[in-house]
Amino acid sequence: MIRLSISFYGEIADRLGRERVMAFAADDITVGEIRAELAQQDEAAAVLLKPQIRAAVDSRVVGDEASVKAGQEVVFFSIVSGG
Amino acid sequence: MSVEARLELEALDAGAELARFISGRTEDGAVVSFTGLARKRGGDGNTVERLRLDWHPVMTERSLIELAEATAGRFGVSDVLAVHRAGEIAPGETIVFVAVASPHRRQAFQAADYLMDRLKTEAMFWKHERGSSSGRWIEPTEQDRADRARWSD
Repeated sequence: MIRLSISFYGEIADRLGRERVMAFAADDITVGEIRAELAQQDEAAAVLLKPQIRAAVDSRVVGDEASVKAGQEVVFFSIVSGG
Repeated sequence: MSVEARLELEALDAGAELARFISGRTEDGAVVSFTGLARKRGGDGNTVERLRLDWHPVMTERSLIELAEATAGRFGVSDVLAVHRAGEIAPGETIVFVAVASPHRRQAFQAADYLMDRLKTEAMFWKHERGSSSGRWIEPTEQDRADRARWSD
């Protein structure tokens, strides 16, 4: 089992809060699986299934196939506004 | 060549940034700067009481650095400076300051223009306008995207 810090930026942070710490049954998990797990647990998190919501692991933007291990930081973010 | 890009969480003093950037130059004949201010009227025409630029503690500043470096590399200018506010910003406050130094003016004008077009669409911020009764999240406008598309990459 792993515990991960998952944080949210942009419009999705209004719905999901800034950060959640969550436990997952597996030792590693993909970004896509995290999206699905969150969406299953919380109706508001269904927004994470939209492709325009991007993800980053340890501050690097990644695709859904990226695998996440204990201690890594996961970020989901809405479309950036620019400056 | 030096490139500096950073986030500023307190007031951004464009005059002081420009004075520091100009000081001590003997090889550059041109410094072009741009100062962006937070407007009172939002994109939807409503009055903005407060602008909030949400940022990520690592990725946002890195995006500024990458855009400033790309600008310096593309135009071969001497130095590039980009300072961007984050957090809560009131109308009239400086939100972004960009300066470019170059031996000759043309490259400096172009580089500043290019950097601003890229910052407006690619800088890693999440912008929220709050008016008297409601708030809204902002995305780059069609004009911002068209401005960005003027450059070939």
